[in-house]
Amino acid sequence: MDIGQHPYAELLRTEMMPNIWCPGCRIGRVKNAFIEGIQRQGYDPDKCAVVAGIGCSSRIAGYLKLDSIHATHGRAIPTALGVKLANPELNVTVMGGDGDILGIGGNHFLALGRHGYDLNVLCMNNYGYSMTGFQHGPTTPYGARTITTSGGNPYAPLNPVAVALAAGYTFVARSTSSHPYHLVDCLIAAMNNRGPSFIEVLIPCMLFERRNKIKSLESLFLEKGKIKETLSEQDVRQDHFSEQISLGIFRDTPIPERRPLTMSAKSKRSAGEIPRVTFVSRKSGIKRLEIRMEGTGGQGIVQGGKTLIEAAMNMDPKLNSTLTKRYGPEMKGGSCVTDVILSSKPVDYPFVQVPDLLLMMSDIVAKERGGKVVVNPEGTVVFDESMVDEKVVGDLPRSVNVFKVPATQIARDNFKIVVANNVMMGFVCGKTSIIDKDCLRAAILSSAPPGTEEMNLAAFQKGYEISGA
Amino acid sequence: MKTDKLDCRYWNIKACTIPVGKVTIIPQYCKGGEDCDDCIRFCPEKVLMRGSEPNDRGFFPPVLVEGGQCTVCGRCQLYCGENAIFVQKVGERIVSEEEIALREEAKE
Repeated sequence: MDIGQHPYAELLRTEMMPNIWCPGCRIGRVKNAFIEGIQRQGYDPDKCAVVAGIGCSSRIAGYLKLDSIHATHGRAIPTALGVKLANPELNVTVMGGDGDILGIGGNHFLALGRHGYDLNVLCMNNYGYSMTGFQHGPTTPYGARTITTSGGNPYAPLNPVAVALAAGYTFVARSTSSHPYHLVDCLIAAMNNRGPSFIEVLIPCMLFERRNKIKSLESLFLEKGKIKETLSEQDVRQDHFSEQISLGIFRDTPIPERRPLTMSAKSKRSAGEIPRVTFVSRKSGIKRLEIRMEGTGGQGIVQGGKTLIEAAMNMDPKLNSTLTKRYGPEMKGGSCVTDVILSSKPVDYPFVQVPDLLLMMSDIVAKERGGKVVVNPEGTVVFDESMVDEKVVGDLPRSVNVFKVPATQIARDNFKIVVANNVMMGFVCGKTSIIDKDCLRAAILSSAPPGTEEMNLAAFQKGYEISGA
Repeated sequence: MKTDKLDCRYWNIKACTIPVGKVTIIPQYCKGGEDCDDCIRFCPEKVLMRGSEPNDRGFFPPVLVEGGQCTVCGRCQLYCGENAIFVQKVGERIVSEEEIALREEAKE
């Protein structure tokens, strides 16, 4: 009289008995078929894992004494993917209902066919979301009555086997709970198949029967279900219960070989040592300084802002500093603005209203503003003469310090045009002693791509020399 | 004539041993009644019948028929979703040719 002597007892969680399924629900039989399959093949229970979603069909995981996870609604397949990737030796089975796997979790179901990992998906199709009282789901037949379709279901149902075949599952089969021996064979074949496997199991639900005045779905499956050895395209159809339902294995192919991916070769480092720069941090005495660097996208404005803020942190680690950047979706050619705020007190608002130091690499931003250059009357403007029209900076008040350097032209003639922002930075460092030279050089070094450190530092040095410091 | 069909050479039957099983029913797990009678329906040897004593929750678990001989096919333990019935092999017995011939004839 003791359940402990049951032949399935080693894989059953007997403390959870009796189960919560309705009398006449045959989901328990699927659980028995799963246990029978494992025992017949002799799999090690420690190497089997079960992941279930939410619903009546997913309660199977609660009664199996295997490592299992009860995932969130519809997300059983990604959870199972995590389990499989963490330990590829495990035999992972996903159990869920039609609403869980094909409804709310439909996109994961499609994606697994593409990804091709070795998961076994067992979809128990009782034609709706049955645990919550039977609402219509993606597989509810046309004209069926449920809580949410009291006048008959106006939507056409989805055919799970057809979708699985199209999505690329390497094993696709259909069975019912009224054919448990066939189901055991399908389960064993699915677990042996080394690719994503899908089995659709048709289950009778008492709520569906009562609402639609069907005498017994189970006897209907027994009567209409026909197990076939070879299946053709017509057998995929399962339109309504008055026609024959074809059961069997629709596809059982080995997973196609895919070329292993190779990572792209790392860029070669240039011969020679990487230069090193040391700096000394000190108290900078900055109260509040707002720096803005603006220009055309592709000139290195964003990198210039990053260099500035890193250099400021190198110089005085106790400064509160913020960096924001604004640019459009164009890769090159749009406007680009970078704001750096350095302050001894915490910064509330990270955007610069009126900059104290303005670096203009091109005049695209001023032209967008109608020709106005916004700068603190006591501040400094440094502009790139080869890219900025002189008229734009012509009518600034006299208290503003204006400097100019042909940064882009220097870069194009001596180095490469891409280091123009470093030329500008060197010039700024020489003309205004806001940030230390060594701090800036260290910041440039830390962000230079491998092989270009010498060129970047040389450009900075050139700008520094031109400033006459 | 009947003796013609009962001739063992006509049927090509030999005596064989088949297992004998003991069926154990756990009444408190059963949900049998109107909705579920799978074990009774699918037993090939017809060793089960609906009991008349309800269990604690109002369902009627099956009972063994007297003289029933279970052959350990395993259908009832596979079909019962509640795991309320199972079989164990306790021995074997020899069936004679006459018994097999009578069964085959009853099927026709």
